[in-house]
Amino acid sequence: MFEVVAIYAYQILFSISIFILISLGLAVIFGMMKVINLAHGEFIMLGALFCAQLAGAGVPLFLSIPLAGLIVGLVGIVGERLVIRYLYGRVLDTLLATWGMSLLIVGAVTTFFGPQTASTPQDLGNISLGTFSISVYSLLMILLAFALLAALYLVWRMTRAGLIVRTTMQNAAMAQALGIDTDRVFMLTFGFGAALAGLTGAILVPLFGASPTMGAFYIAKAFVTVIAGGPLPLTGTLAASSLFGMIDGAVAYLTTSVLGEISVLFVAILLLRFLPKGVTRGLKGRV
Amino acid sequence: MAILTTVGLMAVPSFYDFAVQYDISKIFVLALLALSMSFLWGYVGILSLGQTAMFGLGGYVYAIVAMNSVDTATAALIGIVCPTLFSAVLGYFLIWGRIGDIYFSVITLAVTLILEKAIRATSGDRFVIGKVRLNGQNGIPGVPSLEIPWEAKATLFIDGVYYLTAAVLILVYVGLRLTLTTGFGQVLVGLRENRRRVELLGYDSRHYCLGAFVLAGAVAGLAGVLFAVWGNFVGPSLFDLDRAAQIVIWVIVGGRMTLAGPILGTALVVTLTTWLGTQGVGQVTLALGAMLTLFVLLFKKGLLPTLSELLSAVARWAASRRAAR
Amino acid sequence: MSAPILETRQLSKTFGGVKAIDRIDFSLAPGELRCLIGPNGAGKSTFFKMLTGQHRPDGGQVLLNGQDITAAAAHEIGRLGIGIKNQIPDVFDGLSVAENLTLAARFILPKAAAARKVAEVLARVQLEPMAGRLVGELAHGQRQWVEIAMVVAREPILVLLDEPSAGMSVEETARTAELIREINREATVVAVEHNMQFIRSIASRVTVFHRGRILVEENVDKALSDRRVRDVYLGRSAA
Repeated sequence: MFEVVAIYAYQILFSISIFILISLGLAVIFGMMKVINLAHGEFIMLGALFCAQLAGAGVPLFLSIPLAGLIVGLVGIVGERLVIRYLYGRVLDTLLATWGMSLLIVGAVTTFFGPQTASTPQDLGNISLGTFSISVYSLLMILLAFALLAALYLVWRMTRAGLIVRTTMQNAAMAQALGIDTDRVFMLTFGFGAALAGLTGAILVPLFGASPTMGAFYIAKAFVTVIAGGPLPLTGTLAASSLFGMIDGAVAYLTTSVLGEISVLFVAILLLRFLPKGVTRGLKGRV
Repeated sequence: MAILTTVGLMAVPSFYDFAVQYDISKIFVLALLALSMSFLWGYVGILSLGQTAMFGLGGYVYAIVAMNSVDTATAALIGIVCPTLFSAVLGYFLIWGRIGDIYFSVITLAVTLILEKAIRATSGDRFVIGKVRLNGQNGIPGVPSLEIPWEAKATLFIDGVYYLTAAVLILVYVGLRLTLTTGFGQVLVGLRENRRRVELLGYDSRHYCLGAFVLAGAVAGLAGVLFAVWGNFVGPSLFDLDRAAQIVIWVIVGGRMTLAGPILGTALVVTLTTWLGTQGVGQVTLALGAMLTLFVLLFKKGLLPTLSELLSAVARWAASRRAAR
Repeated sequence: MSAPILETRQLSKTFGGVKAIDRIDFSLAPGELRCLIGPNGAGKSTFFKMLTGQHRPDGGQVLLNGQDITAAAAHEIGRLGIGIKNQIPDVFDGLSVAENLTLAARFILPKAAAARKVAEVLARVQLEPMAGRLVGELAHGQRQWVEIAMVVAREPILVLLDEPSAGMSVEETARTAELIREINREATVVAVEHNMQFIRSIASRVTVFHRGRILVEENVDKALSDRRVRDVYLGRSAA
């Protein structure tokens, strides 16, 4: 009995942590900066790809993961300088331009690395729970997801950098008047969001592998989570991830993973019908 | 001009072989899909990225009904009705929820992606509708072409499909143009210009948005049916992200504030990508991405309006030269 | 006095702790032409926006001919016959003048009658030569007239005009005053205005707003000579 409950809890936590991970970067870029970043899935893909390449070249996995995140952060900064910075405030145009970027990245990766799936082994082993067994890596991933979200929340709320970013996103003109170089803040925040997405991809690569078109797999889930989360990007992401993770985990465990995803989308649309501003709407100004 | 184009298009089969007719028919079908988006986006101001959902549904429903030995005309009709109803339900939830325009775009995109996933998961013996296996990833081959009503047992061949798709495209184009001149159409344009003022005048904007969304859904569904008729095949790629992106590109390249522009854009981009597709793997996506980014950054209006501005500038210049002389 | 066409009871609206509108009781007789005055930030535009469903009140009621319309949506209020010209010209810039007016007239009339209505309203605001021009290309004053014409084309029973003469030349202002008196033959009118001469030329009765409350409600001359009104409003602008 205990084992069944434990494995069930594990399934749901696993599913929640995936939702958190894939939404983190988007919570920064879309939730805070209001840039509809359709290249988010490709940032995740690049993280996975770079991590697989680095690990394949002999770099230890625990180093490859942050390195991959860093590289994707740089890619994000390049994209911001070349395209995004001309489009702030034009929401629809950012959507279209980042979609273009997403296709560009997929095309470039396919051209240079080929369309196949790369995978990275991890050797942390399994824990057995009666008749079930759970991989240690997955458990670590769950911890990491929550830790990253908590860390991001602390940076956002407690540090000077977080304060500068919040000021800039709320009123760029005012921030500029206070002597903040808002152009740089936008650039770095975008890069930071991209790096988080890259980190996610790198963390996920031992579990799911890396292929050029994998971004499409995450983009819908990530957007639905951040939109349903509402005006408080981080609290909202946690709330929406928990809700959707629970639904997805439970339905996928009982039926198929596709049914899990469909039920998530269905719930999200119902939610938006009745809470059009997202689940954290009533909390605005409090947290 | 329009009549000349029509005559020209209708004469194509007398001069070119089946391969050319086949390629052009595909452009006609996809141009319908582009029209369904530009009608919504350019004239009403709603960007639905889920037109592929209606497109794919139309194709699949036609395939399934037609292959269950119902006559193909009925199958086509059901193939249009189903996506129309689907867009009515989806539109109701999104529009009455009063979610922002941008969320509308994102959610409609999510809908088509989920449908794609659902279809991909339908492989195996469990997923059979009537006599038809859905086949998941692999799609349904052998979808029948339309039967010719006045000839027993005969179906449309490539030239027949060519005439049919050309005629449908022209009819839908003219139909949408006429719709825009009606009271309903005028309110739609008003919504794009100033939604609050439309409401203050007493119009319930939700009804009009929904009406436009459903109309566009019907056109996309029709395109889906014709696509199945044209290729004798439906697969999950009807719904996928690449296709959704391509519609945006056709529309934005041609010029979204016109209805003729997207048709031109479809023709240009489809021709280009078909050619690139023979050159190697990855380049098509690369080119599409570059096109989309560049047009958003530099030529937001699209080719047709830019071209006509250029032409009128040249005309003004010529006129001033003549006046000077 | 006959039953009021418009009445508000204890109408209130707060923006982030500031009481923009504070328990306002307002009443308007059918056929009246009333002016609302008061310094900037007194709550006049907010008041208009609450009457037309553009802002939701926090408390109180709005009654149109005795019917509670407090929670009605903007389009429902439009249908009941309240027309508003907003402070910033709120028109369809990408459409022609005629199309703007058609959109308004078609709501109540069939096609042919709407066309006649558009022609009639165009003549009234003397914009016939501009019928085919895009509204976005017109001068500021002309765009104001287009907006007023749209409101009139809907045949409203109550017309709200937020600063109808703002940014207009002297002649344009005179014509606008004439236009408003004409509108008042068929509909009840409330106008927010700053131009005192303009107010004297159109209204007999004014309501003075100050800090979200009604300070004075009097006939024009009495109100303008009231010491409190001079203190909060004229005192400063006349100095």
